[in-house]
Amino acid sequence: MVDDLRPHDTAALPSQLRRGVLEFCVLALLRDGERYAVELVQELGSKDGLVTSEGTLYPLLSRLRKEGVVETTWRESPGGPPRRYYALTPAGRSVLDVFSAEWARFRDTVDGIIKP
Amino acid sequence: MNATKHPAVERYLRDLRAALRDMSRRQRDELVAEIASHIEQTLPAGASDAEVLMALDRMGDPEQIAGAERERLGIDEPAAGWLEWLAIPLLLIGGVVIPVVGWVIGVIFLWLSQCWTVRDKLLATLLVPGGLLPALYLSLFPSTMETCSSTTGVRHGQAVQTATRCTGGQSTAVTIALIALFVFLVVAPIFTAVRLGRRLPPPRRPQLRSRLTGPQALTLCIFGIALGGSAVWYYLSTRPPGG
Repeated sequence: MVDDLRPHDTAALPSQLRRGVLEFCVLALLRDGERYAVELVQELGSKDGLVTSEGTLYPLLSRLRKEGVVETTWRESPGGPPRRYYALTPAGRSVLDVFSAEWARFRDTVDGIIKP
Repeated sequence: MNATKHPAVERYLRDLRAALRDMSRRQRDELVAEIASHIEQTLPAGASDAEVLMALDRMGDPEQIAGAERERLGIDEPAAGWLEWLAIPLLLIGGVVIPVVGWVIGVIFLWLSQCWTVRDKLLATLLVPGGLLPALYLSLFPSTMETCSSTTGVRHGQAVQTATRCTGGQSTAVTIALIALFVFLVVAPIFTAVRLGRRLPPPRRPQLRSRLTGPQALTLCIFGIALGGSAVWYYLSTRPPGG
């Protein structure tokens, strides 16, 4: 899959950038409390340039669940089928803290280099 | 009406299930159920066709959904290789080229491959065992086909057919049934082979994806030659000699 990124392949750039940070964005959206899947996916989907399609988030959520950084509970919803709510686990919270600090450092470094 | 019962949604979920073929059954069921539930929750009960299509568009291409995690985790999808592209022609015409054995090798390749589901493999094995061999056999089977012999006389230095005698001819109903059977025995293995080709994972680089890839075109050529060949064979084997 390495050959996907050719030296000047700018079309692949957003997906390359997105790939590494998307899962941390999911964790960050859960920082202030639990959300159910549709809400989470629609919010991420509405952000410019973050996800190519809403569907790709479901395999990601399933992996985060397996990795133990999020946990889910089923809740009854008013007038509909039960919904799966996602919440950060303590492990997820510490992963998010590490990423946030690292991201700030990384962003400042890159900004310092690319800004004229 | 429940939004997930919409034909477009049903087709979408079926495509998604197929795209997730390399996942375990449990993972696949769970993922499909979640995406179905998302569609159901976001679409109003009486959604118009346009609303349904827009929701599916937002959800994204099933292959893209299946590819997203593979890409992120650096997992290669089970790509089609020589095993698959040999299995398809072997299943179809292998039994004709190397009687029976060629088809058996095709079946072994088919079941060794990780690109198809068990259902694909069962269908490809059972429809039709031997590939095009049974069709060829039927066209050669002497007692069911009308056999004609003609006597040729010589008149004015030229060979002229003077009499044709046909034996073993069947009633019209039997002939029609035999032709129908023959058509089935030709069409069914070709259908299975095309289906196997279509169900192979698409090539890795999406920008190179076209409706017909090189290997698929090659396989279709082989099918075409096989079909044409068997038609000619059938014609030659049923035509009265000298006629």
